[in-house]
Amino acid sequence: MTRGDGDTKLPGKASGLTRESFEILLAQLDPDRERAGQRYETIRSKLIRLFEWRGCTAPEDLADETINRVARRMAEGIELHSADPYGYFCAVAHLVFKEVLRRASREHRALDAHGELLLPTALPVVPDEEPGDRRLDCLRRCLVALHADQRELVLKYYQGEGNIRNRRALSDELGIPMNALRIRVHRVRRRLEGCLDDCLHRLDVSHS
Amino acid sequence: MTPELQDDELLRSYLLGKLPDEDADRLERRLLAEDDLFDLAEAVEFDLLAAVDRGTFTAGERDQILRKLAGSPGGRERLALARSLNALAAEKARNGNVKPFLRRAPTFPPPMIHWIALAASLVVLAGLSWFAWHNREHAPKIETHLGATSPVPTPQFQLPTPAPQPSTISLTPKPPQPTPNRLAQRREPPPAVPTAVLTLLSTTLRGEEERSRLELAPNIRQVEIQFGDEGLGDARSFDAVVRNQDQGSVVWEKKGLRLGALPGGRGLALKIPERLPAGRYEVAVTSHGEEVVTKEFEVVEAQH
Repeated sequence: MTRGDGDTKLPGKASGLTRESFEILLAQLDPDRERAGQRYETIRSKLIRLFEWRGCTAPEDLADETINRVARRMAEGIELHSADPYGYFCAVAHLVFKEVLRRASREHRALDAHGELLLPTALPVVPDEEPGDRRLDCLRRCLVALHADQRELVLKYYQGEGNIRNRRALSDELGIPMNALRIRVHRVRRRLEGCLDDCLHRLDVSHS
Repeated sequence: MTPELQDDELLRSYLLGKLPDEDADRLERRLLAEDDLFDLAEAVEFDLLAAVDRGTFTAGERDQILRKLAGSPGGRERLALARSLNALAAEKARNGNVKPFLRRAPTFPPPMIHWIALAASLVVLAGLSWFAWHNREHAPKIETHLGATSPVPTPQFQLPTPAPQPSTISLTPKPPQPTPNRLAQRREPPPAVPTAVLTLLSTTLRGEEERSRLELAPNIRQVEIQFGDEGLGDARSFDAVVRNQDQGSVVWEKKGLRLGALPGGRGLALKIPERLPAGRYEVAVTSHGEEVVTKEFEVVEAQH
C-alpha cells in the first residue's frame, strides 16, 4: 500500500450503521455488552490513528467507514475469528485506504514515475510558547494534579540535554526496560492531554 | 538486535513512512491487536516530536517529521504539548526541583586517568631497566644456550622482548633484505594534515556547562572533536552535526558514525576536514533520533 497525503475524503461507499448491524458487531466483539463497547471504542480510536499515520486528512471518517463495512459484512453472516478479531478490521481498513489513494490520484493527477502521490504539504506552523501562555499555565495545573511520582517521572523523562542517558538512568532506577518506561510515561502523558484539553476548554468557555 | 530495539526501529520507520508496504500492513495488524505496541508507537511518535522541538534533528529530518507527524490538527496539538513539556522540564531542571539523572562522575576525570596510566608505565619501565641492568651478566649465557642442542636450563629471569624471538637459530635462508628504496617507502609516513583536537566529555557534570574553547594555530587545517564512550550509552551508530551558532548554519554533519579507538580509550571521533572559522559552535550527537549529547564550544585564533 502506498502511503501519501491526499484529499482522503470518504471513498463514496459510506453509509450509516444500522442499529441491527451495530448490535451484531458488538455481540461478536464480546458477549458482555459493556466490554464489547470498550473494545469497539478501542478499535475505533486505533483505526483513527492508523489512518492518521498513513497521512489521511479525514481519519475519523475512514475509521467509521471501516467499522461500518465490517458491521455490514457481519450482518450478512461473516464471523470474526476469535483468535484474531482484529485481522478482519485491518484487512478492510487497507481496502478503504487503497480506495482513498485511487480516488486521490484520479483527482490530483500528481503522480510521479513510481505512482506515488506528490502532493505538496506545507510545514505545520505551531506558534512559539510564550511565558504565561495559557497552555503552559494549564499544563502546570495538570502536572500539579498528578500524583507526585508521576509528575517527577514525566519531568525527568523530558529533561533536555543528554536525554538518552537520563532515560536509561530512569529505566535502571525503576528496574524496567526502556520501552516499558516509554509506555509508562506515555500513559501519564495521555492523562495530561485529557486534563489539558479540559483546562483549555474551560478557559475558552470562561472567555466567551 | 533485541526485540525491544527491533520494535522501536520498526515503529520509527513506520511512522516516518519508510517501511515497505508489506511490513507496514503486518505491523498495523499487530498495532490493532497489541495495546502495548500501540502505546509504544504513540510514545515513539511523541518522542520524535519532542526531539524536533529540542532541535535534535537536521533541517531535512525536522521537515520530514513535521510533515508526517504534525500535519494534522491532532499532530499539531501533540507538537505543542511536546514543546510545553520540554519547556516545563527545562524550567524545573534549572530551578533544581528535579535533579537530572546523570551517570556518576568517574573517580578520576579522563585526563587524570591518562596521567596515572603514564606514571604507572614509567614505574614499570624503570623497574624493568633496573632489573635488566642488575642481571646483565646472564644475558650472554641465554644467547649461547639458545643455539645449543642439549637441553637448556631455563633462565630464572627473562626480560620481555618487544616481538616473539625464534627459540632456535634458523638455518633457512633469510628473505631478501628490502632495498633502501623500499625502506624509504616504508618509513615515509603519509603527509599529516595539521589537526586540532578538542576532547569533550560526553557526560555533563554540575558546574561544567561552561563552553569549551579550541585555539587554532595558523597551520591548523582540520579539526577533530572527540567524545569518550562513557556517556554515549549502548548505541552502536551515531549521527553528529556541528552548527555555527553565530550564523545559525550547519557546518558539518555525518551519519552512521561508530565508536573507535581514541588515545584515552574508546570513543567517537568527529573528523571535520576543514579549519573552522572563529566563532561559537554547537555539536550534537544523536542515535536513532534520540539526543545523546550536545555541547557548545568556541573556536578562537591562537595568539602569536
